[in-house]
Amino acid sequence: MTIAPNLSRRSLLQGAGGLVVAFSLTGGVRPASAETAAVLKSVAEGAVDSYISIDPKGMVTVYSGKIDYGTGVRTGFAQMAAEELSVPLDRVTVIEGDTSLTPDQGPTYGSLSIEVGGQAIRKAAATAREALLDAAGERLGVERAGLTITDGMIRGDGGEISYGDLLNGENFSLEVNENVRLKDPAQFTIVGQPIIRDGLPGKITGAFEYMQDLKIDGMAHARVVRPPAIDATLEGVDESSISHLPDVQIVQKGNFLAVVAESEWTAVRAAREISVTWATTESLPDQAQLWTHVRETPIAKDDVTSDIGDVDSAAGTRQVKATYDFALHTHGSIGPSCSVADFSDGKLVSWSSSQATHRLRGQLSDMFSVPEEDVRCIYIEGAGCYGRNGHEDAAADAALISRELGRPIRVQWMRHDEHGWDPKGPPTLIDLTATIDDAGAVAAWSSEFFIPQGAGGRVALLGANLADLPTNQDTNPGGITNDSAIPYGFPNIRTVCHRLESTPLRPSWIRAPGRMQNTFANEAFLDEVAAELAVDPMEYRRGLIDPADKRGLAVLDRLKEFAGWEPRPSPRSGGDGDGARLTGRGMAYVKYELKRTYVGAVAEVSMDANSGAIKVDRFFVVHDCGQIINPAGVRAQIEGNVIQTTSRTLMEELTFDRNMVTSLDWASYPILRFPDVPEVNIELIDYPNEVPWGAGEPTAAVVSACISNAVFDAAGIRLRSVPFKPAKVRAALSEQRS
Amino acid sequence: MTYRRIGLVSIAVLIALVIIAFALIWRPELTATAEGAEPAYGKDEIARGYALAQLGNCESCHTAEDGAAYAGGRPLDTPFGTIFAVNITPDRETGIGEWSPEAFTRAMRKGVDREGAHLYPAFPYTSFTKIDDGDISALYAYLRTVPAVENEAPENALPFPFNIRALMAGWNLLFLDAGPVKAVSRESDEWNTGRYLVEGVTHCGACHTPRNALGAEKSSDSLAGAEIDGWYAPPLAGDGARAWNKPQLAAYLSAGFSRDHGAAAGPMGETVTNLSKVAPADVTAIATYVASLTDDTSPAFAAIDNGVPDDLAATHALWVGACASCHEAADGRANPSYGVPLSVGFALRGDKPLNAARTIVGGIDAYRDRGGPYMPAFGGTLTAEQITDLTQYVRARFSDGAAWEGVGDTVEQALSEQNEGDGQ
Amino acid sequence: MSVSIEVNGTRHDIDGDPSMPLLYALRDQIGLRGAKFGCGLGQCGACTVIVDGRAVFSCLTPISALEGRAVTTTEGLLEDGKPGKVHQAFIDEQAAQCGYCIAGMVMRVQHLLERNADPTDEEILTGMQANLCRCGTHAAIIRAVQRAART
Ligand code: FES
Ligand code: FES
Repeated sequence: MTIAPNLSRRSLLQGAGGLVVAFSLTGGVRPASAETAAVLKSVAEGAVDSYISIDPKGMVTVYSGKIDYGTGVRTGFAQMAAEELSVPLDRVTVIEGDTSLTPDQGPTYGSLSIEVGGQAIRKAAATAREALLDAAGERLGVERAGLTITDGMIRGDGGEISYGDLLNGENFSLEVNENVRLKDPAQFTIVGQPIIRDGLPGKITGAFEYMQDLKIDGMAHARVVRPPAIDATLEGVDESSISHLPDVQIVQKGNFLAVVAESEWTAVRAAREISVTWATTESLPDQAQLWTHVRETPIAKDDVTSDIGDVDSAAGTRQVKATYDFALHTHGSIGPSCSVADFSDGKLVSWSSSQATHRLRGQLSDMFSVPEEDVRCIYIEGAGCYGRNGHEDAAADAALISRELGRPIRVQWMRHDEHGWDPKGPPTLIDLTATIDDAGAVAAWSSEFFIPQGAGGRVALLGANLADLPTNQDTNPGGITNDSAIPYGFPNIRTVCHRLESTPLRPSWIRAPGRMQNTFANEAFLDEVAAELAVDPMEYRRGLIDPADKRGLAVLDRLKEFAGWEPRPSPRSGGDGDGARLTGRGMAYVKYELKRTYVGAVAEVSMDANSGAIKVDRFFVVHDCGQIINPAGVRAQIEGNVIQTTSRTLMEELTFDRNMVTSLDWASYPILRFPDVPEVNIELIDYPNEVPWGAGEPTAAVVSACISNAVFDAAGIRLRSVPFKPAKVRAALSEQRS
Repeated sequence: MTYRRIGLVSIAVLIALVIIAFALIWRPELTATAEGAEPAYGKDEIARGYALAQLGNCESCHTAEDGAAYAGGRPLDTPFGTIFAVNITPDRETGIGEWSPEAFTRAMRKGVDREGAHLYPAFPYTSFTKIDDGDISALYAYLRTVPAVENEAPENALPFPFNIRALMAGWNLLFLDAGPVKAVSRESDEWNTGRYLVEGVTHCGACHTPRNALGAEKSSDSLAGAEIDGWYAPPLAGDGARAWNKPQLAAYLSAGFSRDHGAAAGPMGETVTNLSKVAPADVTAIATYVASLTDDTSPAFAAIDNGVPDDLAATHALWVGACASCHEAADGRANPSYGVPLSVGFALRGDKPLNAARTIVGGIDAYRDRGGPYMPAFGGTLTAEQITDLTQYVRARFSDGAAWEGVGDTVEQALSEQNEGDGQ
Repeated sequence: MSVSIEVNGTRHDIDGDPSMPLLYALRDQIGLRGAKFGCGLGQCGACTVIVDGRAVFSCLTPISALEGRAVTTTEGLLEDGKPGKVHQAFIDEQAAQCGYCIAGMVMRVQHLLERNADPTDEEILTGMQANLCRCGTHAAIIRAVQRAART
């Protein structure tokens, strides 16, 4: 696999397989039109050519609809393809998320890239290999059984022929065989290795080309000028306010406003200095009353995610009840969204870091009323985004300005655009009740989740809204009903998601959407129940997991040993804290979406019982994602999940007034810094013969509950409201005292 | 009267004076507490003591840079020399482990340590004397719970005669008004609580009240503003005090920021950080009292922008590239860090460039982890001359005051104190 | 206005608005991608470069303040086109997820090690705290700093 940045895109120029690709995506050459690109190659799902091509020199190109924003899945795809094809990794190049070149594999989400996207590539590669073996057998006059492959060279009975020669520049013209024979994991030499993630050295030395670095000929720099309130109306622009800046063009369409200049800095200044009159309206609820607002929002429908037995008539002698909530969060990519668009002759080429380029193509085609064939969306890696942040909106902005001015446009959002206007992780409110019977067992578990409706659709494009152009207005917070049901065997269970008609601010998915909030509530509440029953939380969970679920049990058993867990109920009595410093440990467990990756984790925290400041000292994570493609990548994901979610759990909370978001920078939306980073200890369980599952999200689901449970263990207070800011902790401590 | 008699009388008077002086100066050593005989304190009392320790800024003064909490060693520069805060952890050798509640109370009320030595008023016992018995004992209870750390604070660096502790007895005669404050019955409980805190444990006057030649707070100029540690603590009362109303002040004291008054920088940032850890009711009480010292019916301060000063046109480029992204955006458009006009803060309105120059050099980072005002330090980025020009630029553009004198020296001084290697 | 600045050992005459922050000169005029735009507010460190031995936020440093001064970016740490010591430590620890913060981190580390060749863990943590990472790559970055200090 090529490690040097951009080779992936450049090698496209050299003509891969049967393709004739006559444009450069970089280097300042104006790209060919969307039309040319559209007929370049098959992108149909199910065709081997959609996923794999091999050029006469034997270089392999993999086409993936799923994309990599730093998680390492691109490297994983290359490993899987190289392994199936038995070619060295450095002969594989991956092209991602280009609507003209890659199949539509749906958005990149839900930790499904390897499990779904990677598996599709693997099967296509295996199908290709089998076909190549057949062809080689014929050419060499050797039985299939007598053929071997090394480094893309097929040998048998003294003869040999390479992939490149076999194909001779032709396509495969084959359907992917879903039941194709896959390579025996015992033979793996590339899958399972901790290969350095593609692009990593260039990211460190500065050579890597991010979306934010893309420049094309004739491109001008634009900045958007957003209103001071979500539902504001643009009343007037005082052009003279920026007359001192050279060559600035103003683009106005409805309430959409942008400034364009040849020099980027001039555009920045113009956006800052331009004087605009807006009429504002207060459309947001009072944040101080947020949870009342959520509770009172009309319910569009109920999704019952599990219903076992009859919770209402379960016999019990006491109940444990609690309400959990989880604040609005922003993605907070370190690099704000950016896009370049070239809209000419009614055809649009859009470069962005969208993790859903195929959907974006549909949205842009709606927005500008042009056929989908005339829109080409190309993914380029940008700053990490963990879900759906502002990329698609920036793409819409750039396309709109490019159409208005008839030249290629680069839009770079400023920090306040990103913090203020990217779609948010919605507020989540959860009520839980456990009914306990005489024998001290949970007779019934019921929970209600107050979360926005919608899923699987699109998030309305900001630029389209402002310019009053067509856009899908559905809210889409992602599949946030997942993990509202629980992996534990109580006799009566009912879990209901009340899907709310609206939510403050545009919602979207942020890493482990719903799974994080729901698992927080479920796993912390289960800890409350264990404490009520005065039993060890780890043993308790172990007894509740289906005995047939051996992998789940294995995760808990390994965790117990790995974390040195000593069975006892929480909170710890007596404590070994030093003065006001209390320490505790807490655990949580998830079977992602009840069907995939297993994670068990233990957090160790120390806290100051006076100031309420919590420090997460250490995490222990045991992780089973089936067959591990790249252990270094998986470890990096687990570490990132723990650190990022610790930040979300301890400190993050978006603020807004009645007009709009007010946490517009890192000062008002602080995130974790180096001194507070926990130590992360990881144990991976590898099942080489099982399906590979994802690692990008599952660990995030358990972190908040682990910390809440550890704080309970340390201090006997139960934190049910994320973030766990010191003032909340102090309030809980003072309530405990009184 | 013969000379001889006069001589005898004189000797007698002298002896009497010495006895009186001795009685005045001499304080008995109080018995050390027995090791391990510590009573258990209630959680509530400890929690109250913790809050008082925050209100009193105890940890900030008694903790050296990179040192253990309350273990002393932080230097305090006074006009009389450098005084080092002592170790107040329960360590028996180097801290106050052997101090009984009586010894602690005597120190708080009278400025005398357990062994009977006089303390210097850098330890603000002239304010702490006003704390009531219950609170002193809560503070004591809390300080027993902090981890004991063995650490001997350095010797004070005081020249003669200030190194003679006994002199403080005379000083105390003149300036110490021992005992708690009395409530003013016509004022609200909240106001009285506020006054009790402000005059006592929070010792606001220690920074905000000017001092006389002997280093005592001038009672006639209470909270009238003073220079401290190279910063200027603005007047909270009297002429020149800017009118605060209670909500503004409460916001400022709890978040470090008010839309109408700007951000709390420098040592005040530390104070606000401490206040963020106490009950909101205490902060509101302080706000109520302090706001009552000014006329909060006076009109809000109007934003000033005199435009780019002619003689500083070149500095304008520095402003646009380094400052304007936070401090200037057209109209009322939302911009980061609250977009408060610079002119509303005190820094640009005072007679001296201290606060403005120091903030540009060192930035504001007291609130980094909890969502408050932030400003990067330009001390590592811009040269002394550039910072000097910028300081004059903001003074000329965003205030009605005359150009400052001595900006260059102030900037040099602030730069020299900036932590070497601390880029931002 | 034209300002003469030394960048990674080469003198550049930068033309343009004197208020333009160094970041834009590096990215748009000199063609170096290392320093990134993250906030433009001096809050995140993605734009960190070294000017005359001090780590600065290039997003808030106008070119007019830099006449005659020397700037180093991550590209300037290459040795004969190959990764330098700090680079290599980051590569060996695979210390990047999205990597957008990393070029700034590298410069912060370089600055830290120039002043303190053998930092304690605590000094690493405080020395790095001006720079933000959203991907949670901190643990790997810390390992990279430790590794760079060892080599
Ligand atoms: S971009 Fe300069 S500090 Fe964020
Ligand atoms: S690696 Fe993505 S922000 Fe640090």
